Order: sequence, then structure tokens, then C-alpha cells
Amino acid sequence: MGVTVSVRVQDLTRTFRKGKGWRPKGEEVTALAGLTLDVPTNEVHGLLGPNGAGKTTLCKILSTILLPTSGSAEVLGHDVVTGAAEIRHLIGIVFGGERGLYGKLTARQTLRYWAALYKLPDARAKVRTDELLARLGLADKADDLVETFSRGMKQRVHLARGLIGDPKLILFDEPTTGMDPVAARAFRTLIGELRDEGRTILITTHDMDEAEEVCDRVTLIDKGRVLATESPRGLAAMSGLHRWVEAETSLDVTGIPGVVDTETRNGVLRVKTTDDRAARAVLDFLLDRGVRSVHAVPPRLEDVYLDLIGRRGMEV
Amino acid sequence: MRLFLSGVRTQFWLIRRQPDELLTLCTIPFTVVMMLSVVMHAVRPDLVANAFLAPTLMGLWGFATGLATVVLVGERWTRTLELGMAAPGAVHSVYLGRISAVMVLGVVPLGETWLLGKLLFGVTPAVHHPWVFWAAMAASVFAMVGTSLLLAASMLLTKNSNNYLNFLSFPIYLLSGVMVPVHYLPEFLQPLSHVIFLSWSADLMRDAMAAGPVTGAGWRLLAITGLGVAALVGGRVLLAATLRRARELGVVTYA
Repeated sequence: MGVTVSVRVQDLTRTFRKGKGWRPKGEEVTALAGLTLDVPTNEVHGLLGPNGAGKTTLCKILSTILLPTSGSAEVLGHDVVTGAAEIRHLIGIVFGGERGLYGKLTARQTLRYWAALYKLPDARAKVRTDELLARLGLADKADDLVETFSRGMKQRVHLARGLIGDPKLILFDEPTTGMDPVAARAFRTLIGELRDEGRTILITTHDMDEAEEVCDRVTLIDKGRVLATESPRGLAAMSGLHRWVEAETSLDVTGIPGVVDTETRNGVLRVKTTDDRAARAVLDFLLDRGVRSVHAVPPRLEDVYLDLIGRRGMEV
Repeated sequence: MRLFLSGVRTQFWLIRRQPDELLTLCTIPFTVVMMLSVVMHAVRPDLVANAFLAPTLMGLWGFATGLATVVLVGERWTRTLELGMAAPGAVHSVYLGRISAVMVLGVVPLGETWLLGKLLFGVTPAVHHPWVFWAAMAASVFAMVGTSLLLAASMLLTKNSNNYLNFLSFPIYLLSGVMVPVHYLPEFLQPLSHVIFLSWSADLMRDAMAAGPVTGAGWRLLAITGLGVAALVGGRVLLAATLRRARELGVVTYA
């Protein structure tokens, strides 16, 4: 059939009602407010947004765990409401952290259990389990209890579980939560491999570096709506509003006209300016004072995110 | 059937690694000592069968509420329930398998009670109609599987499942005639007992142990099985409704 779009979401709305009872009648809360999104086949697509933006709700609808209130969503050509049974054969879901695992099962038993739920015949389940354990570097620990694993190893069990049904679309919900940098790097490598195999990948994450590194395109979501969908670089260029300067210095530049914001990380000062002229002024100011390690830099995805969504702190 | 068997296998794997889940077995000796002490002290050999049946059936109920029923609640807490809902296989078959695995172990209190009676009091009750007795036991285990599924699906709806399950035990022990034969209870309570399969189980097993003829064994077995089927169907319907509601509302619990 040659499906070129793996996920097609049109004007998708999802509301929840607060309150108790079999049918709560309390205040209505909108999680998705007319969201529209296409994810082409074989793309690694990131969903970025603050807590409560609607990322997880969208993933739950696409994985048939949740029904939409209105609008439509298709996964690999099947509607999430009328074609849920077909979709379940084609997708894999990967949570981050401790959720979704049986600590008292071994890695092998975990995969055998889920292989049954993905309707793999016994012989195929054994082969697939061994394949995935080997692929994810769990073969030596296959018969150890999952509860004894490190966070990174648990995440590999999650991944193996998500891949057991050989899915065409994989939904990752905060996959690197709590992972150490080494494990996170290995995860990103694996994402690349999965894309090379022709799979489509949808990742919700708060980690901008991760999104920038692994995603072909990202969608910024806020209050249930799409703010922008672009490649990480394209998104950065699209923002176009600000210019950035980085320098190894502790000098105060906040008095220079056009400086919007500054932050220091690991001894590196990042200065956000309104335009090229302001950036030039900052560069001149720093060079005049003998700072040699100084350069103009393109905005990072994180900068764009903060520009578009704002620095809300704890607000959701 | 493969999903059911996968559930059975998985539950055995889980139980093997969590021996503390079998604590119900540790409560049996206390009940055996309590019941048999009273009967032996009162020199009432006619009540020995009751003294043996009570710990056996209470143990069966203990497995149902302590282990089988919490299978689904555990799924909710670990969020494996969500993953199960998104899997192509029917989760209810797997859960039924897991509950059945627990209830097969519910036969263990029977052996434990007999052994303790012999070791501690030197008493072994006679079973004059062993086929009826074992048929009643098998039907009771089946009915308990259905009841456990119904309870498990109900407990999914509450965040305080332990409170409800703890509360349920004593009324069930009383109304089912497990501790005291139903006809000893106040008359207005007796009709309630007829909808509790354990009351049919206790009566039939008691009769199977007695020397006299067992009347109506067939239809009494049918009553146990029928109530089990009703609970099984009820549990299946409630579980389906709960999962459908979870898809619609985004929450599993009722309150």
C-alpha cells in the first residue's frame, strides 16, 4: 500500500472531567485542543512541551489506551477508534523509569510474557526473546531479576519489551528519565539503528539535547496545541528573533543595549540579544576587555523552546 | 488458551520469587489449633469435620483475597495495565490465567489442615464419600477463580482495595457457613448464604465427610459451579467495562 505517513492527527481534542463517580461531572480540563500533526514513515519525531502540554495524552491516544474526544488520529493507516485492534499489532510502547516492569521476573521471563500478549507463537517467542536480549546487551543477565538491574539496564528491558512485536511505530514516553549519560548515549545510538531498520519513532521528552541529537523533526506542544513542527535546526532558524553570544568570562554584559538575558553554565556565559547589532556590541565589548574565547552561536533547541513556551518555572 | 497458560506460567514465576505472598498459609495453623482445640475440649467428634473444613475454606478465601484479587490492582500501580491494554492479546485471558494459578495453590490449605490435625491433635477426619468431596473441592476452586476475577475487577475501581478486602473476609466466613453451619445462623441471614458459593461448598463437603448418604450431590455441585460461572461472567463483564471506561475517561479508579 506504501503508507508514507505513519501518524496522521487531525484536529484532535481530548478533554477530561474532574470529580468522582462512574461518570465524573466536574470541571472539564482540556489536554488536547485541536491538535494536528503528521509524522512521515521512518522519521524520528520528538514531542516537546512542558508538563501538562498534552504529549502523553497524545501518545496514549495513538497507542489506543485512550479514546479521543473529537477529531481523528490514524496510525499506519488505521483509525485509533475503529482500527484499534490492527494498530496494536503494529506499535510498541516504551516507558521510562520503573513504570511498566515486573521486578520479580527475569529479563527473559518479561519478554516471554509480553511475547504471549503480542501473540507470538512459542517457538518464535523464544527466538525473538534471545535476539532482543543479545541485541540490547542483556544476554548475560537474561536470567537475573529485573529488580536487580541498574536504571540503564531496566531501560533496555523496556526497549526489548517494546520491540517484541517487531513494531513499525515505536512510541517512547520520556525514555531516558533517570538514565546516566552513558546509558542515554547508548539509547540514542539505538534510536538511530531503529530508524535505519525503517521504523517510525515518536519520542516525548524534556531533554532538548536528546531531541536535537536524535530527532529528524520536533513538534513543540503547549496547552494541547502545536506551536511549531520543524527540524531542530529549522526550528532554531525559524525562531530568528534572537542572536546568541558565548564567551568564557564572568564579565557583566547586562548593561549593553539589546541584551535580553544571560546565563552561565560551566563557566561559559551565554548572552541572548535582540538582533545582530546587539550581538555585535556584546562581541566588541568582550573583545575590548581581552576576552579571547568568544563567538556568536546559533540558538539551541532549548532556546527556541524557552522563547516559544516561556520560562514558566513550576507553572503547568 | 495460550494467553491463559502464559498467565498461569507468569504467576508461578512471580509467586516463586515472592514467598511472602504465601503468608496465608502461615495463618492456617492458628485456625486449625483454634477450631480443633474447641472441638476436642468439648468432646464433640461430630464437629471434627467442621473444624477441618473451616481452615481449608478460609485458606481458599485467603488466597483469593490476599493474592488473586490483587493481581489487577498491582497491574494498575505498576502501569503494566496500560501496556496490557495496548497489546494485541486479550489481557483478560492473561489475568484469568494468573488468578487461576493462585487459586490452584488454594488447595494447599487442605493438605496443611489435614497434616496439622494429625500432627498436633492426632485426629484425621474420615471422608466417607471421597469422590463427592473432591468434586466439591474442584468446583469450589473453579468458583473461587470466578469470584476472584469479579473481586479483582471491582477492586480496580477503588484506591483502597485492601480495606474492602479485609472487611469482606469475616462476613463471608460467617455467611458461607464455613465457621458455623448456615442453619445455625439467624433465619433472616440464611437466604444471603445461598448466593455465596462457599456455603454450598461447605455443606456439600461436610456431607461428603459424614457417614450418611449425600443427597442431591449433582445439583449441589451444579449450584457451586453455576455461582462460579456467574461470578466469572460478571467479572469478565466488569473488567471489560472498567477498561472501556478507562479508555473513555483516562482513569481506572471510581473515586
